[in-house]
Amino acid sequence: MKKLMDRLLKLDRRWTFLAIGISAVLPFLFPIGLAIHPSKEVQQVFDHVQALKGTGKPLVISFDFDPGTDAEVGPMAIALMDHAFLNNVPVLGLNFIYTGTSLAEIHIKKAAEKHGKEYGIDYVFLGFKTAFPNVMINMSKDIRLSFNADYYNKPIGDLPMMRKIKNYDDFGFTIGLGGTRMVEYWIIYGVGPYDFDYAIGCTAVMASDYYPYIQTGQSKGIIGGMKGAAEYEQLLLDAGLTETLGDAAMGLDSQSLCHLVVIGFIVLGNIAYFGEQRRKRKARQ
Amino acid sequence: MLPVYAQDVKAPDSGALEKEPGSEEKADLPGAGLDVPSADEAQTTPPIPSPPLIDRPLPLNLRAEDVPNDGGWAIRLLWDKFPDGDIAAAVTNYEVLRKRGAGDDWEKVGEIKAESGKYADSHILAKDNKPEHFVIDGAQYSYKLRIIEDPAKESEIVSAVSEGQWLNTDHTIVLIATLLYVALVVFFIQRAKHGPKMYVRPIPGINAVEDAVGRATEMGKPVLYVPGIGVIEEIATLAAMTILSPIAEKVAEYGTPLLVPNRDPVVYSIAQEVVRQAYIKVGKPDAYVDDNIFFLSGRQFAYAAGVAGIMMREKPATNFFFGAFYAESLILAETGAATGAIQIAGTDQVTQLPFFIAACDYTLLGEELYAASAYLSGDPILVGSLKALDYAKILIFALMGSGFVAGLFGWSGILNLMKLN
Amino acid sequence: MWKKTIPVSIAFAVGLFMALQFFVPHRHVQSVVEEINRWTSLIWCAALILGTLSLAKHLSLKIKAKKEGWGYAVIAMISMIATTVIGFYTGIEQGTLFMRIYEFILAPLEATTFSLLAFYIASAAFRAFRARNAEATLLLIAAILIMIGRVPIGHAISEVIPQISDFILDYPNTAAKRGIMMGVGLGMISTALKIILGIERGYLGDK
Repeated sequence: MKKLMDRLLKLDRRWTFLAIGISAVLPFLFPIGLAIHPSKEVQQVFDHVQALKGTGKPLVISFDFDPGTDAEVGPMAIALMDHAFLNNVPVLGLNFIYTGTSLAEIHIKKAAEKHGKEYGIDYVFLGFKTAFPNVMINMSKDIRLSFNADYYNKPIGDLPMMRKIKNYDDFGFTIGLGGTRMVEYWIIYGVGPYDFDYAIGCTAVMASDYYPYIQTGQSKGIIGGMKGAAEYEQLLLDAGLTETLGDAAMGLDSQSLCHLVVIGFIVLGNIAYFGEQRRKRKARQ
Repeated sequence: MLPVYAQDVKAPDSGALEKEPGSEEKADLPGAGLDVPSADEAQTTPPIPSPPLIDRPLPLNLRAEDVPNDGGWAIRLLWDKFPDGDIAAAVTNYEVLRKRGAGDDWEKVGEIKAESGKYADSHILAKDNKPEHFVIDGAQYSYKLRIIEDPAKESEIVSAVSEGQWLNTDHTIVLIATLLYVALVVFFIQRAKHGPKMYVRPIPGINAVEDAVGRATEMGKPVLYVPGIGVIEEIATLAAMTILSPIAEKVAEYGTPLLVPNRDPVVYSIAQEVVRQAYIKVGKPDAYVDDNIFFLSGRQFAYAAGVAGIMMREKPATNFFFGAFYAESLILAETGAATGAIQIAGTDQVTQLPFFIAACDYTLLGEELYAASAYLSGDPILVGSLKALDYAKILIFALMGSGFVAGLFGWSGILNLMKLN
Repeated sequence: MWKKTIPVSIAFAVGLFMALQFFVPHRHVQSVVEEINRWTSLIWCAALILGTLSLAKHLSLKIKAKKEGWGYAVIAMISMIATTVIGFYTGIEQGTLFMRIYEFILAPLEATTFSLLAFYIASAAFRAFRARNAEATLLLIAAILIMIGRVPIGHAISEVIPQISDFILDYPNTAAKRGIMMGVGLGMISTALKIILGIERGYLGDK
């Protein structure tokens, strides 16, 4: 028993890595299919996007994430665009993180191709712009003050979809997706002064930082991490818009198992620790 | 222009005037889409009775004024908001006409929906950004609104003069708070210069710095200092540079190698200078190795991978993580823990503190990072500024308490006083 | 004097100006601020050249001295030069070799490095979450509740678990974060003030 406790206390971290690796991969081979229960914060975002149906106003997505956070934030971007395109809601994409511009373009193009949408009519990608505070202030007056042309250098005036979009008054719903404070800057420079409907999509670690914005009404909801993205996919399935869940839901089984494994290791570590403390007390006596 | 008949207009929230995307773009002319019978049909179908025309509303209580708290070159028009559900207002658009002098012609400067209730005529809105279209400070401008769909209807003429403000009154409360805090800092700095030594609570992480450097010297291993991945404009990075100075002096005194990989090129230049000066100050300029302070990568995870590689190869005995860290914090801290190094971390990024707490031996939480340089230098003036910080916190607690009570009793006057517009 | 007094004076003048400009919206002042921001970008670009040269020098010295892991330095050097040359030669538009390098090498590498966090969290949690005292026990219990509550398995075990997890995140967690953020805000002002007034000169290499 003493030997076992010692071995547990001095466990080589590579065993934990192996356990995590197996628990991460296994659910992809043998799906568990745990039920996903959407939170009210994700439901709020869903309801706002759903309300755009038939209005002709676009869903504006700010793709402010880079490849590092793509695993968490990418699936929510895809789910949001699926939702918009399935309801024939136009999508307007832009981005303020230069390291993620190409990634954003890949995502928006892929989603559009999946739904047979046409560039310039159903979706537009404006690309990256520097000095985001000025851009956000300019967009309150006229988006053309900052974006004369789109990502492909086509003049904005040549895009039919953009003829109906001038400023925040013409945005149906705006979502900032990112793993940095950029999602917060949208509130500071955009929602705060100009008051339009906005929601946050961010990594799980950052989500708890932004709950106060829901309390103040500055964010209409939060999609936090892969769990949030999976909840959104579940809502799409429940609404009959999709027939299957997406990548996030698949990853959630994996995440669930990993969490259990981590908790298991914590419990084991504490058992070994208490065993060691007890042994030391006995030895002192 | 063809009038739009009331019966053809749907309620605003079903987006009647907005065409579905994917449909061919048609001109947004009123009457577009109306099913007008052909000549043949007109002979056989009964005549359609004329429905009443929409009475498009002019703006109520239109006024022009200088945009407050701005840099100038801007005038705004305001009018009363139309009631919710006002169909006529929902389908009305105005064109904004402006003239400068009495003899000038009216010039169209923009269009706006009647529902919006406001219009800003500013230089950043100037159509083609040409200076001749800007609103110039000091000159009187006259405005009127004309209904686009019914050009015979125009509003009254209103006038205003634009000027830039030298004080943003929306930030008054911030100015007062800042001046108050500056006064506190100056007071305690003066007191520290002339008064007795002030007590500050010990911070274990800072007390451990000397021992940590000593440990590295004894083991003959280098010290690794990671100044975060922030840019130099971030205060946390500046704080990291101020902490690097006394640590570099200690390291120079003991003759231990110091490695400082950087993510930002400006930070790299400053870090190099800081460490060089530290070696000069302790009288060992020849011991300074230029190559030990270097730029590694501008990409967050490439930098993290690079530093992790340095830790695995060089096996530093002591790791310092001070500055702004993001998602890579645990990668750095855990790799360092795997090499058996003693680790002291400090960041102002609240989301990364749990990772440092779990993986490092000592962690400076939030403001302790900013206090570290005062502790390490022992300079009474810097310690005095810490005291000001403590008293400012007491002031904030008092304000929070009064805000809580004011909120409970609905004393909006007090709450509005502290509101930042 | 030129090493200490002049830099400190410049820091004072520019720092004071940038602090005051927050309260002065007039365009004469804001146009100067915009110019300063443009110069900041220029300085960063110039420093990037210095940084790249520093990295090249660091890698070359390592290769020359054949220090441990010098092979990786060779790979790093080749990658750096090749990507730069390819970028200049093919351009950086979508579909070019440069963008393919970004899409198929850099992006997956960054995502992979980020995914290391999953493994490191497990080993860090195993080592750090020990119930040594009352506070550590509280941390341990909260961590377990939140870990279970944030995944569907928590709801499968009991509906109460996600509610407790949300409560912990919404109230004690938010309150603690706000407290730390307030302290950080004050600390930022204090540090900035000390730098502007020339009291704090550690960033110049001076006490």
